[in-house]
Amino acid sequence: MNIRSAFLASPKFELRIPGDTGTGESAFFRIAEDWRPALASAANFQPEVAFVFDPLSIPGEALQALPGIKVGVVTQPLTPGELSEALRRQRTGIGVLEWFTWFEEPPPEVRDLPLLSIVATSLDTRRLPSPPNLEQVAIAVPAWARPPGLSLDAELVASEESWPDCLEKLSRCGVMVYYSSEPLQLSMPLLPLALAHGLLLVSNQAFPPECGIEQEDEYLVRPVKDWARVVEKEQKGLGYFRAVRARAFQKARELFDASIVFRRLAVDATILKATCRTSPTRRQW
Amino acid sequence: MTIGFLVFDVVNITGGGNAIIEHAWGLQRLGHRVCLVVLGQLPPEPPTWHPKLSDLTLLSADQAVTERFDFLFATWWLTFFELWRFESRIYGYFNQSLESRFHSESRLKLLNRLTYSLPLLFVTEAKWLEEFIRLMQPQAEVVRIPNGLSEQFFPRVSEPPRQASALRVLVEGPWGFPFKGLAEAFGVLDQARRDFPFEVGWLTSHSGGVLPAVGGEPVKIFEKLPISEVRRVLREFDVLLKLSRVEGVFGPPLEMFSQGGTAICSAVSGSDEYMMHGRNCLLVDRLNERRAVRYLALLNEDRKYLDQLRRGGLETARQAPDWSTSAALLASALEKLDSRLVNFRLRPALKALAAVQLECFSTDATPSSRGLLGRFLQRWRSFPA
Repeated sequence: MNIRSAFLASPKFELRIPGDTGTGESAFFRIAEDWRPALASAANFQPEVAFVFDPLSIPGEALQALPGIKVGVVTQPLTPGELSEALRRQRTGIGVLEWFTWFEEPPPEVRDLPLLSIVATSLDTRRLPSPPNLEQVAIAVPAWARPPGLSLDAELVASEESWPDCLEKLSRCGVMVYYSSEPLQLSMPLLPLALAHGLLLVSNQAFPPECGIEQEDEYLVRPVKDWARVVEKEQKGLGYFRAVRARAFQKARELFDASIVFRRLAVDATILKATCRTSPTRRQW
Repeated sequence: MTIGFLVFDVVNITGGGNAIIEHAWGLQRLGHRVCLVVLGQLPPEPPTWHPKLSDLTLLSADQAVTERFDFLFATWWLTFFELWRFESRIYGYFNQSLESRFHSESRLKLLNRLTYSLPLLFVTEAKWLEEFIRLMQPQAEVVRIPNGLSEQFFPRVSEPPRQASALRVLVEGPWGFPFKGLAEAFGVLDQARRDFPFEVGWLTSHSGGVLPAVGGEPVKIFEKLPISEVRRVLREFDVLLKLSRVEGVFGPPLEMFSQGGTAICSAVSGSDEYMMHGRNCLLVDRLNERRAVRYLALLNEDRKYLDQLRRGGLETARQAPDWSTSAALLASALEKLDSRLVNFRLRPALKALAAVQLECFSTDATPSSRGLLGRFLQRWRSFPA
């Protein structure tokens, strides 16, 4: 069941979109400041399903011209203005999106929007190293996730870095330490990328079970005071955590591979009816 | 060649056990001498759940120590630590899952990792395990032999059976193992039952005495059926619901396909081997597990789509190899390796790792007595060291 799918997004989302498979099954249309050329090209592509990232950045009237089922991919919290615009479009039927995907469990105020799925993240894994280099042991730490009171000789990844720069840095490392005051989420920047590189992810917080990332098998949760010892074990070169890193690499592909994620979503967008109001995650919606 | 498989027990019905029995039987049929070395209690008579068990040679550990194997395979991960006890030219590991994922205790996970620490001959059925083993042991011989689908026990139907008026949903899996996702499956059914009626059955090797109800109605239980009777149950249902967290390669969905049904399953490691979302089944990821409720509603409302998936499943089952093909592939691989691979020198290293395992189990903690591992260890300790 191959469904012709178009992806409309700004270049910053390029790593989240499936690369060209050469089958003509999907195509990526980069949205620049002027969205009209991309929209016109996408319309010419005649998609059966169109995935529109940050959909409210394009006027509703313009989206009308796009053929196929339109799925809005929401990647960050909506502002109150965006939220009311989304609801207005649903009410008026102008520029309406048949479906939305949300980056986390959506808030109650969007219950009137048709939710197709939660998509925390996706990765074009063909751009990432495969197989992973499990011999590397250098440490990476995101600038926003540095543990207080701990000094480690680590590669600092800054928030303003572009994704090619992040990939370059991560590909030189073998461990990522990540301090957080809240439970880890798949939508937190760099975490899926670190897993997909086969880095040993060490954090003081755990992912909630529903994320599907398996503690101790695919990443480690340790108090900050133990991090130096964990890193030392890995840096000894015994392969103490090799299995964890190998599974992180695999799990990231199982969960986030963009071609798998969006192929399933394209199927769901065509078979499910928007009137079916069951939340994909909640017991009661 | 003389080929041995170390198994803990042959009494309990498991998919992994079925694969071992089918391979052993197939290798024997091709002229090899094959033994199942039972490390737990050797039953006085072969269990009847799998008819092929009565054709196979079952040896106790005491009997097997006098054997000289050409190939000796560990199977369930703890059997790895017993390989050293037996003489073999080639030590192997028939690895059907990453069993560290079955356990929550860090100590057991660490022990499990030791089972990948030597360049044994690895045989596996799953692409993801093949990749994992190669990442763990780049020097090891790794052979992937896809599981078969028994033509004898699961003959492909010519057409999907006629649909009944109500959707019929079958849950599959043993109770008592959280990673099998049974509670979640019944939760999904409970939620769906609020919207529309359907029939529910539960096919299980171990119900643990649990009597689940969906929408207040008791679920029809099919427990501990011989493998030859499973297809009769599968044919009574339209959809298999299986929300496991860990699998090597799903077996039951393919068996369901062979009898003209479809499946709603979790998208776990190994689900990509033959399950195609929207073509022969519907897959749910963990983050959107409750989408299974929507899928059930869809299949209930749109019987044409249900029929489309069932036909897709049957087509997949028709393309699956029979176990005789899989066993022939394994035999061919072993014959090639027989002349060029010798790893008996690993025996002292296997013994050293067994000492680590013994030390790990003898200090402080008593491993959880619940579940498969608990039952295993209770019997294991009565086994002479």
